[in-house]
Amino acid sequence: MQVHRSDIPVALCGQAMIAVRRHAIDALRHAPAPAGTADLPARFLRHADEQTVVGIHAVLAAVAEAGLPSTALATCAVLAAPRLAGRPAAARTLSGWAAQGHATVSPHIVPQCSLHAMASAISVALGCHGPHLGVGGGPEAVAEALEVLPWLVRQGGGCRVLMVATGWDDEPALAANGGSAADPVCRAVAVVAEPAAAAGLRCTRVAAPPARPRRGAEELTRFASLAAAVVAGSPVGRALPSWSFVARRGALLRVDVVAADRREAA
Amino acid sequence: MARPLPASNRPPSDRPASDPVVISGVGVRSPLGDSYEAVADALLAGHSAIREIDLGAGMAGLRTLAAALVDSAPPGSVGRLERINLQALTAALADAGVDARGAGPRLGLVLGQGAEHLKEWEADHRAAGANVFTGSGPEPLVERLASAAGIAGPAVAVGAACASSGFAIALARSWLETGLVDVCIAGGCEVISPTAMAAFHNLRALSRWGGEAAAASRPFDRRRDGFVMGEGGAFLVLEAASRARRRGARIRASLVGVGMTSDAAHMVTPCSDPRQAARAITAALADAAVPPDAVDYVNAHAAGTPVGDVAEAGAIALALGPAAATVPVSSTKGLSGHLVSGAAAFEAVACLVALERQAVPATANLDEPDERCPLDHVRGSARARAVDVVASNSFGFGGANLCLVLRRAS
Repeated sequence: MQVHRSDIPVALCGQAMIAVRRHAIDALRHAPAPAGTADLPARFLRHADEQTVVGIHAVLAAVAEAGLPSTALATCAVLAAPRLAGRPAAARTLSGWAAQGHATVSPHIVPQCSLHAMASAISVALGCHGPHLGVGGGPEAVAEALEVLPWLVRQGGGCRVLMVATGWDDEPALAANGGSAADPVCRAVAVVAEPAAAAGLRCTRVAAPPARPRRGAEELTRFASLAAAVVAGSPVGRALPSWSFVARRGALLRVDVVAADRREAA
Repeated sequence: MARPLPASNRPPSDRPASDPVVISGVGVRSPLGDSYEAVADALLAGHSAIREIDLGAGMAGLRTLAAALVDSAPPGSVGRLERINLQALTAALADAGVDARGAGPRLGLVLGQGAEHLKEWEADHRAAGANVFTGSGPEPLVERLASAAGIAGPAVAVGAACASSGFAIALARSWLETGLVDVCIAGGCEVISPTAMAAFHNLRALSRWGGEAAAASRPFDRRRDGFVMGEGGAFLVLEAASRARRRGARIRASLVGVGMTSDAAHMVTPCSDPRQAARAITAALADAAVPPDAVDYVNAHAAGTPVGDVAEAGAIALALGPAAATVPVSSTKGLSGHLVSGAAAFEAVACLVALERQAVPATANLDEPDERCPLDHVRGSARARAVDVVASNSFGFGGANLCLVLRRAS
């Protein structure tokens, strides 16, 4: 049963997926930006959550693929959809408090580990003066972001949006210091979305049997597949497949690509 | 190479001006009261809710000043965040006369959220749980709220730090304008937690006022030295004016303008350059088709931080131009404290109070206005005046800037 439908008038002009094992993330904090994109401020990611580090590099890669000059970033909006971001820092903080009291609480825990943090970091690092915000924060973050994206694209009479979704492929079990015996993969999928004359994506909320949250890997890989297909474009007259994302409360968000030859009818 | 985008600074509106998005319901959970009327009375009478509160033995050595909610469970306990949000949310639906369970999928929810995951991990940890270590735990807060309230339509959480619940209201308006939903409830409530209090203290963002607790939050005052945390917030029910009229709902105000920008300056420190905040105000007024001199009240974000208040005064002056000298400005945080992610929605309620009561609440503790904030401050006591159009500023960590413009219901 179709519950509601919305057409998102966007085109995607760049996309990238990055997957990094946890042991390699610290090196990424200091890694240079891709050629042609703005350098990150020195030590800017020192206090950032792991998902922010991977997410910002995915955005830089998507920007590079889109061929956006750094001057075009100033008007961009930012939409970031992390999944349980900040958990390692929270584990460290709560363990530290129990052992040594309130003075050990990092002043960075709230500004760097809240829902807005990744979006803010991207906005600051890339100099984006369009609106920025975090969305979701849980297992349904991709579906939630797709329900927010049209709003940002409409801003200012048409706004380019840097969107990124992140998460661990499998949520790691953490020790008191926030470390993990495992070496899980942190994944980020970024797209550069811009206004289109007609719908590029059609999101339909459909009733579905209650579903368990998908693994981060599954939901993000699905989003990456959607982004890659949209950026590549479809041959005229040939429909692309649909993608679905868990939206909870007995619903899925089904996303169809409205190809160029079908837009008039849409 | 990407193509150039249009330079217009005004979002396209899909809804005719004759059928604006209106506010037809309000639910409040705040230290100043748990009903619209109680909050209105407290704001206009200048009653402060700021006290010394007890956050347990773990806070030894800190003076914990805050505007806390009256609640059955202490700050930091499991379930408190969800219960307080649900109380405000269901109160708003009741005030609007909206039966969520009968509304079906055309009723949406947008929750403004800050560090809620951290707070729920903390509460669980203090109750000997291990969710922060395992990554397990309950469904996201927005899903639990939607399920508990019987909301079947889209539900999302958005985060823009201290402007979160304002961004939620702005997104709800867009969902209505684009026809995604017929009714949308938006807002959010904050709770105080020991970790957040300690983090803000260690950041040196909190007031270290040594005198009377009620005098600690001092927006725009020369002796301000940081903000005072508060908890609570509000939810608003939004729908098209035509729909609200058809069903005989009480229209409290129209949401006629939204402006949003980013400073892109720093993750923590307020931006001293007022230009981007001014651009958000200008965009909101343009969206509302309201000239600066038609604004009757600006509800300032002003939290009482040394840098932030000066920057906001500059932004107001820049956006309003010569009108800044005569448009009344106040910050309600002197009474309520800073409700963080719930602040923007709560301050939208303060704006509704100004529109309904035809009076502007005063900034508490504004004994000596900072000369770097040369505005028409309302101080001492509320100012009676005609109020038809109000603007409400909200700013957040990481440089999120938001301005909402409300117009009195005709």
